[in-house]
Amino acid sequence: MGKTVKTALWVLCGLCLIALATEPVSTRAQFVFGTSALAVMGLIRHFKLTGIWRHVFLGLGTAIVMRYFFWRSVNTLPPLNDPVDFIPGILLYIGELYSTAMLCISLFVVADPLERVAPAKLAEADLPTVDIYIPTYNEDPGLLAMTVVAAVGLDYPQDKFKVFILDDGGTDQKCAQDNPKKAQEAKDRRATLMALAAELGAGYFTRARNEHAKAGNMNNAFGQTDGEIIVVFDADHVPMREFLRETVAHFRDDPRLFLCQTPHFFSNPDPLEKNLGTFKRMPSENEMFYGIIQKGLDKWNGAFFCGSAALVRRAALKEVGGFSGITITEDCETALDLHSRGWNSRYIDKPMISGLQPETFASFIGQRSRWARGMFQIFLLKNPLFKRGLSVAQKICYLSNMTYWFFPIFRLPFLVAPLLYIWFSMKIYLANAQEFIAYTLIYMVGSMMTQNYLYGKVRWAWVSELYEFVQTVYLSRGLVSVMLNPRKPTFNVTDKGMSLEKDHLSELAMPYFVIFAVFAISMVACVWRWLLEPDANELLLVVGMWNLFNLLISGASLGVVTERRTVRIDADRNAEIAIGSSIVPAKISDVSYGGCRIRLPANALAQPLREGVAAVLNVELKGEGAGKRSLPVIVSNWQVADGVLGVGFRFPALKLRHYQVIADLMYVDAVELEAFRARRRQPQGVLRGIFGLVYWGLTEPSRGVRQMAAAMREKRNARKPTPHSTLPVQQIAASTESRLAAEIPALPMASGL
Amino acid sequence: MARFARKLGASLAALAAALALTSSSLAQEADGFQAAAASRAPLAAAAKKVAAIAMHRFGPDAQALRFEGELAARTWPIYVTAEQAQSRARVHVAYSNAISVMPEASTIEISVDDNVIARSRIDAGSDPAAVDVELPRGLLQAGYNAVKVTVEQRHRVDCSIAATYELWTQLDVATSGLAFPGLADIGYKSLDDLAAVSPDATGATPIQLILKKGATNAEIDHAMRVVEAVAIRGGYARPVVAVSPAVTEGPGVSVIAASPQDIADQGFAATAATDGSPQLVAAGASGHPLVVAPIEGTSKLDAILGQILPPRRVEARSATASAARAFLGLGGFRVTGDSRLTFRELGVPTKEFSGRLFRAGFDLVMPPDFYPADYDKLTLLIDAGYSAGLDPASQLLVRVNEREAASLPLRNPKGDLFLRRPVTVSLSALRPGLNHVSVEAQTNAATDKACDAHALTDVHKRFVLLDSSELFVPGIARIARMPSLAASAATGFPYGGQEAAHLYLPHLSDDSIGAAATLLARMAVGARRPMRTSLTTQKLDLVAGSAILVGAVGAFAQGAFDLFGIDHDGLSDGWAHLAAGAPLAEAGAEPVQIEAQTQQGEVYDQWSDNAESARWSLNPVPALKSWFDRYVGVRSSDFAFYRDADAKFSPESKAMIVIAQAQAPSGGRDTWTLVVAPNDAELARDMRSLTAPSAWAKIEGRAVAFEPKSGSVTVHSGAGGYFIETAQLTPVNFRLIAAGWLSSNVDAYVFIVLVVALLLGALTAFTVRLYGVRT
Repeated sequence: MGKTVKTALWVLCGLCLIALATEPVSTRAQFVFGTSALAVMGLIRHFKLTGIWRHVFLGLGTAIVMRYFFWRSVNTLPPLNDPVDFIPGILLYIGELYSTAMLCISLFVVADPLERVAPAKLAEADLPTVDIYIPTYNEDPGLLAMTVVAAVGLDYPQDKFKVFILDDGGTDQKCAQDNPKKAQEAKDRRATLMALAAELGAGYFTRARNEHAKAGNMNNAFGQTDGEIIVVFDADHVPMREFLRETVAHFRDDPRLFLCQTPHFFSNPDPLEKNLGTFKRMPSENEMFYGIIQKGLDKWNGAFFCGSAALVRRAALKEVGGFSGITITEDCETALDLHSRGWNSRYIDKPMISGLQPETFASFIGQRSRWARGMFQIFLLKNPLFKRGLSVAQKICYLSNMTYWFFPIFRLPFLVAPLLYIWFSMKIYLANAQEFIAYTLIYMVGSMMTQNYLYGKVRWAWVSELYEFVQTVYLSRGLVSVMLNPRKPTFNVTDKGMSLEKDHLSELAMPYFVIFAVFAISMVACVWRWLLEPDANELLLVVGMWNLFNLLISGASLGVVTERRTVRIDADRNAEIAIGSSIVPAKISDVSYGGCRIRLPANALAQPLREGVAAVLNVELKGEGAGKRSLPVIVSNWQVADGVLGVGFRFPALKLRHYQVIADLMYVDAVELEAFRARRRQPQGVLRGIFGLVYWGLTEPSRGVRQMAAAMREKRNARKPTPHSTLPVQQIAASTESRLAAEIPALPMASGL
Repeated sequence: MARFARKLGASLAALAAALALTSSSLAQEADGFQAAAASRAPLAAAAKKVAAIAMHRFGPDAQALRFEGELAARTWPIYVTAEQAQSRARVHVAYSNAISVMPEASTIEISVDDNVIARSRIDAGSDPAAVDVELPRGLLQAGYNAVKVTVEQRHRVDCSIAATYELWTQLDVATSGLAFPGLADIGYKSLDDLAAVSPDATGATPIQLILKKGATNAEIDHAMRVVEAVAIRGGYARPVVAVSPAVTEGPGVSVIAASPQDIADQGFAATAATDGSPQLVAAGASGHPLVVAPIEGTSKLDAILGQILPPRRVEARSATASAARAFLGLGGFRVTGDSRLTFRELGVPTKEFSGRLFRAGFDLVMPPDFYPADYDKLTLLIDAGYSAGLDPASQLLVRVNEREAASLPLRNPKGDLFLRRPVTVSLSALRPGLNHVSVEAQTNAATDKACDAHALTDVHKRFVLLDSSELFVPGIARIARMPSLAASAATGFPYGGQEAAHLYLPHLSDDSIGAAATLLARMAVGARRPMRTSLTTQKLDLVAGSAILVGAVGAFAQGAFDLFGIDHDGLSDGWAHLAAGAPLAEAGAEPVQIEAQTQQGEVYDQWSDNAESARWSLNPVPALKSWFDRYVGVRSSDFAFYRDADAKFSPESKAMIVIAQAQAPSGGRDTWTLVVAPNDAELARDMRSLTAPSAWAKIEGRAVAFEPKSGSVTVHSGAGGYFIETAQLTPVNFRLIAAGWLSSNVDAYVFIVLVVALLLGALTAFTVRLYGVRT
């Protein structure tokens, strides 16, 4: 059979299904169909059938969605002549329309995720020359040093690659700014980074003006280097040794390849993971994207350029005059241009960098807001639908990435709709109980099952809802502002490596408490109506369940916005400390690019400690027979507890070889990382997901409210002078510890995995 | 029944008088209204008086003149000739009523063309009463006039909704109508005046068909067509045809349709028109109406029929708008898909109501090829209001064909007024042909619990239904699902189309011809066009094509009964004692009680529903089952797999006419309809009873058995059947037909969708590999 015949058959079959799904059969027929389809889907899932069965599963899920949507469009909208019901009714309908469209698009995208086979290894002589760009703006030089060290140490012929620090924090513009303090800071930064680059064997670029943000920064270097391949690492993205070996062969395999993207892996939890304590057991938020969606996009030659941990061909970039910079998401914009010129892309599903993600809720929102606004900006200014040269599949792929970010707008009606009925008895969704069960309930179960089937390994049930809810509250505003002025948004560098000293409420927390209160009061009103009103009926029950769901989600969100103190994971690495005349064994408990902390028996040291004393730490490197390396340290603070002496050190000016030791202590290798990722990928059923949501929804609000009360108390106390004697003793210890924490912004994670 | 009620009334009269609480002011008000016009007289005297004078009775049967519940109204479009309009016309209504009706709070109101001309207390007591009013001069117009009777009744002692079902007022069929005392000559001049022919004392309109002895089959066919055309032109709701060799004067109309020679032989040559067109003439001393239609060969027949059949526009013959509306609703409003009708158009006026059970309704005639299934909904957009203080259980119910189909709660304790609130009824509740839709509001109030004098005569308005309410019929699937006696009874389908059907009379007699002609005339009135049949007595002619078979049970072979799924042996055994001779039963019993055959399973279900509350605390199964029935509602009958093969129909021996329909042995769209009785005399007589709308409207399914004594109709509906394609299978129509069929065969639907989804999955797997990046 030829391609045309098969395609025609497929189209025919699809039309048949559409025709059948839009048959106005009875509600009873719908119920029997729905339950049968769910049963077959359940069997496919239960017996873990793969291959054709995956598509059968999705086919059945699609049929359920089509039936629901047909019914929803034809039977449930309030009458047009009743605008009070019709307007909110149609808004809710549009919200559902959006989710259904998103489902269709994502079904297309993940129709057949591509498992790439690595191309043959290249001979040394064939390896392309590589320029590694590490753009930086305001990141800590220590953090940057880790990345540069790892980049310089990549497993690749020394004469074939160069590493460049692209400093946008030390530009002429910054150094000459009016604020003398800031100008001095910029000048210092330039000097520090130049020294660092020289020490570590990297190049240093800066430029006159900060035009076009990151894109402009990279274009500046682009004109001054000549490598065949350009690699971009964000300042906090520390690459593994094999990064280049695993990727460059693809560029020889396909001469039209312009992009090779690898996954981002984060060594620290995002605020949701941290505040709900799920980092070690739940797949990270971005795993759905890198684990499945990127593979799906890759199938359609539409791998998404994520701005870092990626390789780009110079020849391709040259064709479009470097990186594009109209919008605030330069990566996507650049890839869009190149895809439309017939260049190809690949995605390699092997995490080979270890990065940081925003740890506070406020910086998380800031980052997401930039992504959402950037995507919306591209959607408005460079809509892929009208971009010539893209294949239909690529257009859909880009659309899927952009339209996803509209969710904050379309989620709002789902939150508001139940309130309209509870308080005003507005009927914006016309259905009786029988129809609700046969259509809505079956649709909801079917779409949950489909989501869980597609993404269960990388995303727990209901967690998407929670992520979207916490973002909706702030992102919807950002989207509206882009709509009003598409060219306005500017590039804000996301704060990373910030560490939290103690539990407190996020400064963005207030709206979540208000929303939770509204849902909670509405819930009470709903129960009240149910018990006391003769008018109570099944509709009220359904609306009550819906509001309960919103209440649980908003309850869980209170947990997300109530920041927990950053919990350190004990590194537990063996070392020897040589201080004064004694050399004693110790355990390294905590390490960062700024300093480290060790534990040793309280009486082990001969002389008393003094601040500022130099010492040497002999560290056992990872791997068999890797031997020991020494690291100069300076005593910073110490305390004794339970017979254990804890000593905090800071690092003096370091040499390349010292940074390598710190990197060894701080970062895992690719094998460990892969194992950690796999451990978290434990699929969780819909039911367990519900239990989890209920648990969060019930417990997190109390934590949030306690924290809120504490904050208010603090505020009151702050107004009157605090008697000195009331300061608890533990707080002194805590403050010493926090001083260290402030010096060690990044989380060590080596042994934490 | 009426006699029984009278007897009961007499015995209860004393008790009732003692219990009756008279509200004198109310009574005065009621009596004072147009009191001069209304006079009450003992029925016996009135009947004697009325018998002597010319009268246009309401008809067409006793059921149509029965007013039940707290509120009931009916409108008759009655045609009057110019002479009648000029004369001193009166409305005469004789009635008896249930003893529980409280006279002080119950009224009968008569209006002509929207002018109220009489309102009287309902107070027949133990004896029948009458309302007799002279109409103001000039009120009646030549043409159709609408006469409306509205009855409002309240119970003497009981304020419950159940008690409202005890209330009835029965108008006397023989003596209720428009009376024209002193009018010697009704003045039949043109064929239009056929409509002025009054029903007889039973409500039927007799048509006397003059046939010479030894008429050929073709001549009989022609005469039958003319009779059908006359029935249509006259707008007879219930034509009853009898064959006679000569004109005998009496109620009804006579028809002679024969060659000019035969007409001359009968002595009517003088009355025939010179140009050979059909004419209505007054014959004999009493001016008996006679239609003379000279027919010369088949080719001339169509021209004659064309002249007899009514002009299309109803308005042309209606004196008033209300009459035109009433005329349109005669026999039901004809609707097709995608139509909207306001309640005003459907003859349901705005009505404020102060009782407990409000009822209003209308008849709908769906096309015969309407496919009734669960693919869409009939929507009533209700504009109504209710006052504060109603019982929280108050609700508005919509019933279709007596089955409760949808409800709208009236629960707001503060009352409510709403517009365009939708109440939906699945199309599967309707059937092809005649349907009755009723809107019922249960409006018990808190004061009804005490039920004191105040509550009984409470005139505080509780409910209002506005005539701006609307009926919306969605697009319907057009394919005839056969057998469908309902479609045949209401519209003559599938007969009367382009192809002639055989009319097979195995034994030709006046009785069998009369019965067949009655059947055809009744169907023709519904179809609004003459049927198309060709008479045959030869079984051989039935090899191909559709047919109507009419005769005595002995005249058909057993094979014929097998075809219709009727138990032949049981039927012929039950009728054995009647087969040869004259009927045993007494003539003329009007059907009063109708029962649908109930399956044993349904009875069990009903009882188990009632008994459920007592059991459920012990056993969760009934609770789950009731939950399932309420919120899911899937039944085993939705699945073709669970449906039993059709059982044979064995009517009870009391049934005197059995009508059955089946696909002809020749297959395709050919349909046979069998009408069988013990003997020809029984056939003719009981066919007359069966044409009463109260019985006729119950004909449906694939077979019915009619018991003339009790008037009951037993319906036999089978599962199987066949389709007759009537409309084009456009994608829209096909989609709806498929939806209807798949809804009735849920297993088929689920199987097909699952298979297609499976196939799509497999094809997707193969196709997706061909696109994008391949590995």
